[in-house]
Amino acid sequence: MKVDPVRWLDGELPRWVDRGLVSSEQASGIRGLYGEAPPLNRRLMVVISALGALLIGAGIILLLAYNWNQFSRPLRTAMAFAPLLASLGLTAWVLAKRFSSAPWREAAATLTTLSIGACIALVSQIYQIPGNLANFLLTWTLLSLPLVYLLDASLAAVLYMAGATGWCIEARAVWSHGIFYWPLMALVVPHIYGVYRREWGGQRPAFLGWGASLALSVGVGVSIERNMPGLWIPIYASLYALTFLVAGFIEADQGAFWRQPLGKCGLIGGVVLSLLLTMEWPWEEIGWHYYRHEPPYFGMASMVDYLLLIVMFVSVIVLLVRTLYPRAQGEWVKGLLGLMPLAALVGYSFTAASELVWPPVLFFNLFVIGLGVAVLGEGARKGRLATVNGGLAIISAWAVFKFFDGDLSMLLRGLVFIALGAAFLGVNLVWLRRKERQS
Amino acid sequence: MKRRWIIFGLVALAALAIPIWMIVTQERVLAQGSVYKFQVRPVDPYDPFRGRYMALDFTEDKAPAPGVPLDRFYRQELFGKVVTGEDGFADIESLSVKPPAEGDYVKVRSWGYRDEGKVRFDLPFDRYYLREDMAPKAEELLSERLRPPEPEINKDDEGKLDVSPEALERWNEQRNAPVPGVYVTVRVLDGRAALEELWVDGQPILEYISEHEGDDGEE
Repeated sequence: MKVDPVRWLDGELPRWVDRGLVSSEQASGIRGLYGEAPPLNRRLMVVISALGALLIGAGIILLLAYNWNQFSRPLRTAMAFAPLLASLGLTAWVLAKRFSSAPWREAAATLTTLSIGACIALVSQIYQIPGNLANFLLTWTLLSLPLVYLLDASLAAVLYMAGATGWCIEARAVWSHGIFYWPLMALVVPHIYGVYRREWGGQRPAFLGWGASLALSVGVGVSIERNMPGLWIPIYASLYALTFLVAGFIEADQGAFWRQPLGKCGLIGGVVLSLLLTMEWPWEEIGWHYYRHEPPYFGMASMVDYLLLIVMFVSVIVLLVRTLYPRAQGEWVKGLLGLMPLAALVGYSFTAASELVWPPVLFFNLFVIGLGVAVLGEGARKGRLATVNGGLAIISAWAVFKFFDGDLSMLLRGLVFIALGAAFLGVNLVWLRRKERQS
Repeated sequence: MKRRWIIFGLVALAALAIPIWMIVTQERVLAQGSVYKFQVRPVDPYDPFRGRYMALDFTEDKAPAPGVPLDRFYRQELFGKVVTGEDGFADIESLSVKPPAEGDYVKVRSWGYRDEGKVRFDLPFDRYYLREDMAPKAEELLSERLRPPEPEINKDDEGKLDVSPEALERWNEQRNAPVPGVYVTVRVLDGRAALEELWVDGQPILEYISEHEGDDGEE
């Protein structure tokens, strides 16, 4: 917890006097420039006051809701607009008086974003206005976008990405296409780029990184048209490989888990995808022989599928070359993940042409184990126990997947599990003993 | 700095304008629109009470669509001409790509499914919003009425199911029959439809609930 500056000064001034840096009179003069230190429990009081205000607000909302049907329609309408007007008022005040304060800007942007949606939803209910969820989400999302730039607010940006993804999900659920997802997401890119440039390594880029990674993990799958069955395999492989390789350029190599959103999402996404590809069902009935001509598949919208694949695939190749050249030594994880899209595309093409499923299944079984060993090795090389355990966890996840595979003998599965458990225990014990000896 | 305030002004204007425009449009329809009664039928799948609103399904769900090119799976917006039938309830007389030259009409969504030469469509008003504590009471009072009837399944002498076409057709007719005493009034103006009220046995739904709640009356 941060020490109050005045309280800090109270503690330091006697030391300065003792060391002869300042005289007693000078120390008194310096101390007299500042008021009394705030009471130690001030922060707690602020929290309790905020909690009290929140409870009162919630109570008022409940009272209003209880008597909702007793109120006339104009009164209900006024109450629907009240939060929006209040949050717009707060935004104006923040713009005028507190623009330099990030917490105030984030709070104003978030409250206004939520109030916009609440107002539209309440008005729809009060006036029994029929509507569809997709239009509501699109309107709400677009109205809240300017707040991201007006207030430089990253929480509002994450809400925007969630709204755009939600719109895409709903649009696809009613058999429309989702190609506008990409222009929608592009609208928030300048904000993300600006934050990364100004605050590299900070909290906000990490927060935005998590928001973007999770939104894209869902949005890519929902927005693609899927006329060509199975094309999602190389598309998702490219997405996670690209995310992981980009992280190598814009994220620190070490640090807290949450500060490396792109690296962690890329790796975890790549592992999960690879595990799925060790099963047979993703490889069945894929390729151009099963092309879907009939509605509800929009032929034109499927251009986005091919464009996405080409752009991401080429980007992966470029980044992989830049990552591994000239110094590729030890970069097994990046190399493997970077080559995953190529493997997925080759596997996809092979299976589409031959209808044979076992070759890519076998390949990805070996791939997952190899990736786990590579992560383990990197952890050992860099002296990071968490990474070593991560590698073991990948191999264990593969084993758990195979546990449910009825084709393997119980004896074999049992032996593998014992070996993995022993490896976990052994590695961690050896590591801890080594650390103790070093210290 | 000035640009900031201009952007704020535009954002505030847009955020307020959209709900205000929704209200103004709806109020205009409610004030000036013609009244039509649409009969409610059993809700299928059976889950009419979803949180804050009651899902509605209507007997008017297919009409002729002369000359309209329809693709089976695309949701198309069409215009349904509304007339009042001899029974006093609304009929969608026909569907067209453009608004009819005269008479009232509503925008409907069609999936292109054809049934006996007519095209199926969905009316735009498919839910009635209720206060959260009212919805369970409404459900308690109306659930049996809104439930689709059980199909008559015949069994032969060996106990095997024998679902005859006649029995299926009878069940279909029962499913699509209007729920007695339950309908909505809708105001229609220039293609827009505003749901005015849900009626049960001649009373607005809230009055019906409060009257049939018992001795403790409305809370």
